[in-house]
Amino acid sequence: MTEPPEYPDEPPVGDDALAPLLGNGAVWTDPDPDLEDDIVAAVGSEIRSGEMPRPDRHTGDLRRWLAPVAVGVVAAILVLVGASVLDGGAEQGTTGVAVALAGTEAAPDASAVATVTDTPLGTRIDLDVSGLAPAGRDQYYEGWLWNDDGDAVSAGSFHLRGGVGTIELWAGVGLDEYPRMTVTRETEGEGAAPSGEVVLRSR
Amino acid sequence: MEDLQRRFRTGDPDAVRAVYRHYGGAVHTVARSIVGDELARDVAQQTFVKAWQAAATFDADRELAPWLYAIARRTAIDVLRAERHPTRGGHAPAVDVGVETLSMERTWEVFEVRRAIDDLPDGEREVVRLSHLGGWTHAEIAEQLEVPVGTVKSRSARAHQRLAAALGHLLDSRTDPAVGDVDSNEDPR
Repeated sequence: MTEPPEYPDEPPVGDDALAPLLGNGAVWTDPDPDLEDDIVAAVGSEIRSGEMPRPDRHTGDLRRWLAPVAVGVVAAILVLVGASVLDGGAEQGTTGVAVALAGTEAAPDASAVATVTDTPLGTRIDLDVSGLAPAGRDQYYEGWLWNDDGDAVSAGSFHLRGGVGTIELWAGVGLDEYPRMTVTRETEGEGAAPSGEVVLRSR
Repeated sequence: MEDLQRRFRTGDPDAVRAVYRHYGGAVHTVARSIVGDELARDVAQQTFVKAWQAAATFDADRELAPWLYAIARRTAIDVLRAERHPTRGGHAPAVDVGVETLSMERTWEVFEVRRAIDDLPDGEREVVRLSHLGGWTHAEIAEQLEVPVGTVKSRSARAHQRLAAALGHLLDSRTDPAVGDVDSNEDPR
């Protein structure tokens, strides 16, 4: 059989570079065929239970945390830090913004600086924490971004049992619409809404 | 795609199915790369439900894929953290440490590779799979698929052109040794 001359024996474009990517068996494994139906059913269940798409809503009193905070709470500092966090893979993010968080009465010795960077993957928050004790048994910490309507969106959780330091959090919303930040202490199994036990807070 | 993103953003459950068909493989691949086979299905399901619940927060000016990817990775890390929590299921204490997983760059890479693979026509996809995953020659693939070798070569050429175009942005980072393979969601100093 005569082969078309325009097609070489080996893949012609970028094969050497693509080979490590395409030879990874993980990228070829398909999910179970019934996963699609299960996901659609799960969404249907949310609809039947009255849940509709919306940001997580804070169950507490918005005014409580808009009110003046305790003495010693440091004003939020918004400064450009020129951070650009993604080294490769995705596109470079825009310049980061530093947000200072102060400990509340629940954690008076705690403080943190969050470097918030808008990236093509969402909002990356590098939280540099100090003075905050490791979460206790059955507990963990969770970062939240808040808008002016009192809606909260989770940015992820952590426990600090490995020591204090920088924690990487991500959120699907940005500081432009969700300009306030808190860290709460949460208890395992007590739901997805913020607990109200705020340990760190921006202003 | 813009219409799909708009419908998804409004919480249209039919759009969830369409979004799954477009991104389900990539989300599952990220989940599997972080939590393994056993929990990947649960993570993938949680990802799409969370995405639907948070659809109102999705910025229509952004692409849906990175947003879904970020939810999937965070969900997987949270599931991994919960699984390793010492108070869950009577696990012995002192095993709970910062959750280490593939780096952001590497999980983004598998997400993008899977998306590119899923975008290939079926015939081209199978040729690439057998070639790269199975290590088969074009002749062996032709015999397996019962098509001429020339057809295999043409499908392979077209597929690799598509893949090179879709994944070109990943290739530079592959050559950068500074890009790590593993990171942690907690980075104690």
